[in-house]
Amino acid sequence: MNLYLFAIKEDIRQPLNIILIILLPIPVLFIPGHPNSYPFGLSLYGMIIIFSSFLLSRPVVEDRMKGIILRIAASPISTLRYLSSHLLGYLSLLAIQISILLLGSLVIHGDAVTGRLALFSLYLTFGMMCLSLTLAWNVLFKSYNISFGLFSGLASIMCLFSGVSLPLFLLPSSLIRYIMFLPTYWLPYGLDAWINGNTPAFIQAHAILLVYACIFLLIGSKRRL
Amino acid sequence: MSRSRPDVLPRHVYWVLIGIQLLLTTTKIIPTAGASTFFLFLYTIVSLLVRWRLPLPVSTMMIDTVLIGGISLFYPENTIFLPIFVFYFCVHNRPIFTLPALIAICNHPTLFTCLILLGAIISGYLLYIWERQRTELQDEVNVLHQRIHGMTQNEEHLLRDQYNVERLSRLTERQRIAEILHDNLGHELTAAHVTLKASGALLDQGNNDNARLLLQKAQQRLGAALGQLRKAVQQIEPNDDFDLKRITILVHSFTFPVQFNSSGNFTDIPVAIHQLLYVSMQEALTNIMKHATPNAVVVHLERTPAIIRVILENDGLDRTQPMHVGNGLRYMRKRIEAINGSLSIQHDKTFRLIITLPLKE
Repeated sequence: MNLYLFAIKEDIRQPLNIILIILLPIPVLFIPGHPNSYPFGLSLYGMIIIFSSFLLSRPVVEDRMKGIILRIAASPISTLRYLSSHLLGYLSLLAIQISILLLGSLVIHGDAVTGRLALFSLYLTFGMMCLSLTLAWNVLFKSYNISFGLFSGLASIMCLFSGVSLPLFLLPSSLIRYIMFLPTYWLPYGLDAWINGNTPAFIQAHAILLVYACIFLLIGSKRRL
Repeated sequence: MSRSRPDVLPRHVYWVLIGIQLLLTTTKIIPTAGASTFFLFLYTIVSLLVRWRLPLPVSTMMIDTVLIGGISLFYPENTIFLPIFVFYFCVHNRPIFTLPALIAICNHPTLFTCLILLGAIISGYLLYIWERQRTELQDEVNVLHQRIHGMTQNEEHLLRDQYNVERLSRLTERQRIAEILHDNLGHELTAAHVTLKASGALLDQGNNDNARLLLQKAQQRLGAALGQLRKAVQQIEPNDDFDLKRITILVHSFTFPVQFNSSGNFTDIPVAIHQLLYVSMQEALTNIMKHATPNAVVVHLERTPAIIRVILENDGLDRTQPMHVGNGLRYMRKRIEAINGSLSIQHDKTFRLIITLPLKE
């Protein structure tokens, strides 16, 4: 069994993770949206992606906490292979979750949500950013519980101020200049761009999310034994 | 328990300065920035982080500089990122690579950008000088560490040699004592023992006259043994003049005439020091014989409460040949320095070798 499959199996062995992947996207589909906007659940789903990423990436943190990373470092498996296999595994699980959400949106919202492939790509890019963010975040901590406790607070605040928990049009325009530094801002920005048919802005959101993912990956991939 | 203060290294200051520049850039881009400018801001951060994580050549940063410089020509608000690249090249001492960035900044100069640029150049070069000096110092420290390691190994080797010499000296001395006791005392004591046994046997048989005769003989044997014992003890005891005599013989048996004088008491010198003194003088005299043609050789040996000093001087220095310290002298110096002594050479009109050996720890 290769590392990629091992990472997926390690995650789906936990019943909580299966519930998280399959059931959690369903409730957000029932949240209605503004008449001239997309269903608000699509934006709020960003928050679910952040927390799912954190919970899915738990084995990487635990490997570090339990000292398994030391044994891996001594084995012929390179850090690059270890990290890429695990992150790809988690991203695949997130892709399944996104697919469930978009299929659900087809059933519940029908034609009110269009361009599902583009939305899939945006969520996937956002998922990549979130996985990289959790990786970089966990580098700072040795205990998973402390890390999760602080992260849940920070992620909630980020989502609140960046248009994930609240629609962007409810936020004051003067605040937008500052919240653009939050990586989570670029999901609702991309969703808005897609709904408004602003393709360059949609691509910009993708690009910025990818650059954020690169930044967090570069920080998070630093081997800490 | 006191904790050691963490060292501030140039790379720490480098990241602090990068952080300051990014912060200054942020204050400038917040009021006006669109998604494109923000993207370039993030791209600049990625460029720096990639160089932190991967060992890429400095020249690869030119690609990013040219890219952002090129965009800045059409969108001047992006020139604000270029001082960061200039700083990077200054830290790595690549002034020529800063040209594209400088051209782009000169195309749309603003006071803010120029000030940041000036700060970047000055701080970048200061950081470069600091790093270079630190590296040079580190190299020197490494060389010194290697030298200390070599000296420690030499010291261990010499101490082992010294221990072996001392052990050999002890064994030789024990053997000499055993020989003296066996040759002188053993014979008389054995004879006295046999005579006493015979005397005892005669007493048992009632032959008292012969027994008395044998007892007298045994008494004479024991008297002789006592005499031999005294003689042996005299032989074993160190002779007051022994150490100096050995050196005097060495000096006077030299090929060239030597004027030898000594001062001080040489009776209580440790064996190891005496041996080293003797071997060093032997080596020095051999060197004179090999490399000089002296008319006069003067050897002065002096003992004080703390040191022994030997001065060997000869006037037969061959001035046509360059001064060269051979293996013999080098090895002698190491052995002397191993016991905290010193060896110095003076060559002016005469060649003078001064050996100083400490007597106290």
